[in-house]
Amino acid sequence: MDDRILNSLRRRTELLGWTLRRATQHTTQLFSVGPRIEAERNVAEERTLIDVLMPGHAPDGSPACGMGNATLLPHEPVEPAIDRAIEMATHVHNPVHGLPARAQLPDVPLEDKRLVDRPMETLRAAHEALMTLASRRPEVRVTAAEWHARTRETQLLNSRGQEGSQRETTLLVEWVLVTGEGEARAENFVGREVRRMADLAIEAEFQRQADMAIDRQQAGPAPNWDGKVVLRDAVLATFLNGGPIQFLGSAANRYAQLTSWEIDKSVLRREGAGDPFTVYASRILPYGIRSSRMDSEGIPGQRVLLVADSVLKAFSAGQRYAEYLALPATGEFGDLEVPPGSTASAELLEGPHIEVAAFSWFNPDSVTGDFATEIRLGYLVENGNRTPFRGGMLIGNFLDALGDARWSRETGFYSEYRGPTAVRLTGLKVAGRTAG
Amino acid sequence: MKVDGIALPEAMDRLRPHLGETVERLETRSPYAAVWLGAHHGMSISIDRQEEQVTEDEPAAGAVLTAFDGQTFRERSIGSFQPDALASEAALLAQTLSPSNGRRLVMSNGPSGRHDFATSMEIPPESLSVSEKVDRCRQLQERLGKVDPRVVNTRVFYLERVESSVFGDRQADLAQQVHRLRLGVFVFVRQGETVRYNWCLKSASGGWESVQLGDDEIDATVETALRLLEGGRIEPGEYDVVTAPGVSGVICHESFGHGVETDMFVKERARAASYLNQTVASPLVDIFDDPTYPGAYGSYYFDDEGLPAKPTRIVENGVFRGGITDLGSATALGIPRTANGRRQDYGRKAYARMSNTFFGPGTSEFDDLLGAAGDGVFLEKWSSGMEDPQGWGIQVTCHLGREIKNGQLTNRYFTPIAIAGYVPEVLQTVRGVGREVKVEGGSCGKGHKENVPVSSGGPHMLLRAKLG
Repeated sequence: MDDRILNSLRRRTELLGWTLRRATQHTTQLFSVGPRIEAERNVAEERTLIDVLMPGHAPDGSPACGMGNATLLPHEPVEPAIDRAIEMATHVHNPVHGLPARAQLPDVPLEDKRLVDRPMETLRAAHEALMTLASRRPEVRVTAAEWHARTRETQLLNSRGQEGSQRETTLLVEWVLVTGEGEARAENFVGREVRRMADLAIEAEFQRQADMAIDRQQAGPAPNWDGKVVLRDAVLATFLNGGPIQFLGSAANRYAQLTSWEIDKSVLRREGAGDPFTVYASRILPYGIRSSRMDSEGIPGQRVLLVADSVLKAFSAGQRYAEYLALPATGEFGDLEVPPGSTASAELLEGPHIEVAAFSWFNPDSVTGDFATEIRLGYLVENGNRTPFRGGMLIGNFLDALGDARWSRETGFYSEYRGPTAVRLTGLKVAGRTAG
Repeated sequence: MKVDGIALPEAMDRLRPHLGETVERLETRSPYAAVWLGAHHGMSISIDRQEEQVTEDEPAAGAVLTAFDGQTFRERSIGSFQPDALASEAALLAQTLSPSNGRRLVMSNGPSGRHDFATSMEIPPESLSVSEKVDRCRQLQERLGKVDPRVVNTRVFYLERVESSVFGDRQADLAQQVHRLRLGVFVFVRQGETVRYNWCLKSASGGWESVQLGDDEIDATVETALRLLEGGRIEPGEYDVVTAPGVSGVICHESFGHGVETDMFVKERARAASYLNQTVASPLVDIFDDPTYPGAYGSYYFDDEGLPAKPTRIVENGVFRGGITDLGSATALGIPRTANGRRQDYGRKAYARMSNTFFGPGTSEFDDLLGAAGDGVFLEKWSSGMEDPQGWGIQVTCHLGREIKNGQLTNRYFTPIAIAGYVPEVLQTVRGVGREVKVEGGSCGKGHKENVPVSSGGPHMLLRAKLG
């Protein structure tokens, strides 16, 4: 950590506290269009983030405090940045709170050594593997691919002695798989974010996505449907990470009275007929995309039981809101973990149902849980047939859907979620439309 | 507007005169080279009934060195404006290139030489102190406080972002500074366990004067939030729909905005590629992308590949006339460039991106559109949209809609409402277009990343669509 900044902060005796984070980041990017490499990029970045906590008084004279921040880019002078942070802090008057105390940080695996040591070489090899797989399936072509490998190292120190460091990698990929020509052309756009190349499972993922591209080409119009709906694997992860759990389970939103969830009360709007819902928000899930040894305040990574048997047990709380609401400080929201259900996934897939294989964008209203979202690819499964369709809207309420959910016994890991590989929901509707 | 000199960040300003040498050095090994310097900084204020926050937004400041051989871009980016750091990066980039042997790619960028541009403003945000901005937000918050007891919280937020960029290649030396501001209010209401919300937002490239909220707008925001407590879901089906300008805009943005970004053509992702000069919409439909739109949130003076901003007519009387390009896709397709090569920041590649995208004006009055709808739905406020350039599916989610009965708006509200459909089918149903165009600002991603400031809009429009 830069001694100039530390010494300067220590001299500012008017402060209630401070947090210093130094982040360095290297990103390697590879882009292809068809067989051609369109671009190769390397990006190097470094910055120091300063948070300061200033004492003050509210307009009624009661003790208050304010948080301010500044970012110091390389070669920028230190003192003006700290002055800026302090100035911002002096303009706000919130109830007094503190900073996280010194605490032990867990060891959480977050990096792929190959992406750290040989990023471009690793990306090129992965891209070649993808193109080789594509060459073996001439009915599907990879018309574009993007690979972004990032290594980020963070060091943190605060005025209460909390300190730590972590190194993490992320790999962001986008593939465009196209099949057919002219009016019969169909695409499948694949976007994934993982910590390790291995989590991408390129061959299996390519084959699955290529099958989906072909199914999308052959898909008919969406049916109208009022019955069972099944979500599996990455689509289930997307559904759970759509926003309502994160918004309604946030202590900051509780403090602002934006969530109606209360500790020891049901999170459901009505009693459902499904399995009791239990979920953890974990920042210690190995290679979880939101996992961290420490969050931006320095709060150690932990696995938080948010909801047990459909009853709220904890809010996800940063230091400030933990103190305001007298809750444990859990830090930033983590990846979701759901315990295994009691039903075999094969059983969940029995009987007529719709399976959503890809949403256009699952984007429920985070406050109410209501959604009406376009289905990019789905399957109508009935009478032993699995018929692909595209278009149509899946309509329902996220919380009601959780109340009526049956979870599979089998579990999997999907970078942002670990838990059952399948869920069967009732109470949702599909409004069909003419396929394009 | 064009100006004589702008106040660039100091380190950026110091580096600017050296870009020509760097380009020259790189062009000994590349048929074309350019340097882009980009920086942005800003602040946000959030004030609600429970707490206040004033935050410096995380700034970005860095340089991109580009070498392009007509096929492949090789770039190195660095988060610094230090001349020695840039020289090191240039040397590293040069190592990856073969000698160009005098080969030159000629770019039709526009005027050569030095040109500076800056947002036209009456009240530059820098002329107000942080304290003054906080006080003005507090006053707005207090104004919101004098309302119905069902209002559980109100939040005022203000965002200010100053973007500076410099582009240099063998002929151009361009610099611009754009101020983008947003001011909004959120109202949260609760009755029993039902929580609803509504918002009102102003966005602009301009000064403080461009983002003021009037009392009538605030009152309407609160009243609608309260009415949403009684609102319900709409019965899925096909309806005659009148869209508010913002909703028109998001339909435009997701259909013939993303769908005509020509990097999507190269990637075989855009169905529009095979519809050039063909009818794709009702003859009442015109669509434009215009980075020069005065005061709009997505405006700029030159794109991040050095091309001076100018408008593009995408759809003319229902006929698709051409897309918006970046350098790479225009080169690959052999088509003229438009000024739409944009980067999220120095860490990202340039893509073909929208600026301000909107339906052109028609001749109808709003009341006439309601009358022509008869029974239908007025889609008043959008909340999100997603593109599907190859499948031409529409997903637009509206925060709220309002029943139209016998050509009149009733107080029956629906929330949320999704619009679905097949782009050409929906646009073919347009049978009325309002006179007045308005645009609304926002952030646009490509897929789920690459965010850039944009606006979208249009007039009120009458069309038929599937809602759910």
